Amino acid sequence: MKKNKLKISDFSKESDQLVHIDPKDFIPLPPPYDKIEDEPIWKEIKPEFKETHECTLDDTIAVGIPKPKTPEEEKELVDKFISGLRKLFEKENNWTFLQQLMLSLEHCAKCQTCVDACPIYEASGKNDLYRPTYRSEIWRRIVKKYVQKKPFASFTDGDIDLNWTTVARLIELSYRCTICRRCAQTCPVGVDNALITHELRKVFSQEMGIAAKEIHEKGSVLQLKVGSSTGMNSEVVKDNIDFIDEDMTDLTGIEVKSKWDVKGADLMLIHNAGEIIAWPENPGAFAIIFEAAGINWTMSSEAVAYDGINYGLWYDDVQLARVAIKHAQAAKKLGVKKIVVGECGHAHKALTVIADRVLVGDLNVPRESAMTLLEDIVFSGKIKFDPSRNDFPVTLHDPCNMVRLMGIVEPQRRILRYLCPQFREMTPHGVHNYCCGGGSGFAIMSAHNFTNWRVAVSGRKKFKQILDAYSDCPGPETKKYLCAPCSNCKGQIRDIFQYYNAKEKSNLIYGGLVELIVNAMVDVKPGFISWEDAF
Amino acid sequence: MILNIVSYLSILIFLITVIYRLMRIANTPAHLRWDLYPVPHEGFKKAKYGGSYYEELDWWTKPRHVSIACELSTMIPEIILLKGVWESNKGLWFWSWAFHFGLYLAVFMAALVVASAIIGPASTIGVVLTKIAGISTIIGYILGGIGCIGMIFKRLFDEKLKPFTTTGSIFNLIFILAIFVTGLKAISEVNLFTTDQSSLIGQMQIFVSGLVGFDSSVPLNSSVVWHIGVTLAFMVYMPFTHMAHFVLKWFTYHGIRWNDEPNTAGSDLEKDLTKSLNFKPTWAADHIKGDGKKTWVDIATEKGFKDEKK
Repeated sequence: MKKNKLKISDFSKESDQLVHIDPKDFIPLPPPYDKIEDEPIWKEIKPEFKETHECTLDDTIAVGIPKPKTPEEEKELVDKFISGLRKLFEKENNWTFLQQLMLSLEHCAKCQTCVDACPIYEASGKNDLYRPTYRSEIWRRIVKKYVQKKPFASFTDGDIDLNWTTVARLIELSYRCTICRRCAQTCPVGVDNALITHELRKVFSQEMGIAAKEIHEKGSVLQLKVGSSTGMNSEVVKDNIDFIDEDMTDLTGIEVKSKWDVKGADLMLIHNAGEIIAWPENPGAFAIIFEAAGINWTMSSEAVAYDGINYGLWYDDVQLARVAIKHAQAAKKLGVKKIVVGECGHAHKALTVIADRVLVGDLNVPRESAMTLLEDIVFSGKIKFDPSRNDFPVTLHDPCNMVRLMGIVEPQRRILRYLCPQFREMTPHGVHNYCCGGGSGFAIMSAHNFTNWRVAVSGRKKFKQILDAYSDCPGPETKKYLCAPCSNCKGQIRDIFQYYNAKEKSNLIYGGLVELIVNAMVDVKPGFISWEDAF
Repeated sequence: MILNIVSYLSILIFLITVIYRLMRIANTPAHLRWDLYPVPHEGFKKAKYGGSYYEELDWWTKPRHVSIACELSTMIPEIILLKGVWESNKGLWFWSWAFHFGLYLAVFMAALVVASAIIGPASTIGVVLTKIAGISTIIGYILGGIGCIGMIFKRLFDEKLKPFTTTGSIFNLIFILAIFVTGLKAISEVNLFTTDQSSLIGQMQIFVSGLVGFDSSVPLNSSVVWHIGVTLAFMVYMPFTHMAHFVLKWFTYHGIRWNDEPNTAGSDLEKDLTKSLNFKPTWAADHIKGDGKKTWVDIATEKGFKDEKK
């Protein structure tokens, strides 16, 4: 018997909380993670925070906006929301996504074909609030009734009340979707719920100045101000890379020296700067491979350009354009032939695909994925490999941005099939993969108890999929490696593994693709990848 | 006389509305890319697993191959068999397929009626077309009717669909059901398989000939008039609803999901984008402060940052 019977009209009705999340409803994980009583207890949201902030959606908080103090303030916010919605349909304000949005507004057949494709909806035990169509339907009804003021909108498209409760809940609900676009893949008409999430976030950010702190204030704003969302300025990042080079030299026995600001280099490599802080072996491995292959490469020490992240991709077209332009300007200044994006899925999509129609004229510097370059290097014969060094079970996580949304599927697989004798695929994989649960900024969002939600709910399907890929060797006696060539995904996977203690229970570690390549290099001291040193 | 005038007007409204909706979408500015893989025009090999030209080293130096054959091989099963619904929503598939296929056959019948009326129903080809139209009608109307009834039940009672069912969506299905029911009623009152003017197809041919020849004196059975009337009313109504996806779906696929055209120097696309970058937004948030005077370029480049940092 299904417990949730959430109606569209419930969304606008004031209540303490719209739905509750019960771990008993979650899809089960394989042993030894299958006992609900072993699920970590969710952190309580502090009562004093609840009193002053909007917390009426579910059992977690992503944005946590302060409650308006007066009815006038509420009205002002609702009016701003309507004003923002109106701007979404104006070409001057939203030429970027106008066509996509108009089509998704007008052509949904409400057939619900898309719903079962959503890993959040499925993992939650089919909680109606997380149906990909629930959010879209509310948005659609609001637009028809309050923006377009369509005659008979309640009859033709369904009714909805627009009040502050509706807006406050929509702000939160726009951060319960990872924008993985798995639902869009199944829509027979081509309607895109993830796009609607994206556009809702834009209204909140671009018109109302409301966004998750981690992606706006501590994210794109900090990146544009200091140079990186990590807070590292140019000097700090260079120092850190020097340390990494030294560590890598000690670890591998190969002299490693990363390159900075080489004018006219063949390529400018751009990392997610989070790698430098959290997974230094990743930029280190890139340097080892590029040097060993004799690549004429460089990184840029220009502010913003040494951090490939572009959080605007998830919530704000202006921030997206600002960062992408900085990246391209740095490449233009160095006069490189191309930009190569390191192991970061959203940086791939932001700079290569989305910004393709922002970067005009001489800013349109060619951009490509590190996956293709790495494939070329691995199979070029310039480096000698010993695949037996990688003789442990390896599976591959497909970052949505790089795979489903860019079609870069095979290069990384060809490398893994060659260098990892025990490589196995997850089911499903490639463009039909499941999101890690940390997409659209979730991986860096940890305020209050959001980590509980993004691991136990939005990351659950992925964790199950990972465990299923090792069903022939589930125990800790077998060392296992999850290859996730994306910083954001790695952040989420790190949190999932820690949350469920996967290192201890399953001897499961994660890392990027370049680490596996270096681990198999004959000229490198054995043991680049170490289970003992993993977290 | 009245039926003919109503017919001209209905056809005119249908065409104007459909063209208006097409133009409205086609005239939106060039947008940012929002591709979703697999993209079938990448060719059979890549489309099989969802690969793109980004898998090639220095992809911008390589010629782009666009496979129309692969696109068609994806589109045809999707249109004819609703492959996507089969794969992701099996419980709805039969009803949805019957409903859509019934409509396809009805449209096919209409096309055959027009063709045979013009060629001459008594000619050899006309007789063949008439017979095919007859078969297509009976199968189409029965299938479509079953599909409609199934879809109405699904929308009213299926737990997955019910919360999203609006009065409008039931009204639409009943409207379409009325086309099939009045069609079947007409079939029950006039012959179907004879090729003379007493059959449904024959009556339709007389009606079409009358429309083409501006002759309003043609005698029609009252059940046929009802059927034609309901169909014309639907033609007027349908383009105003989400059901216009029958043509606008072209954009959701070709214009968005499969639109992977890269922006190249000096291209028409680049010219269009340059125009859009000079639009003047009015987004009000503090980090943008769009005042309707600054362009996207101003806001997104150094000038914009400086204003923001102040």
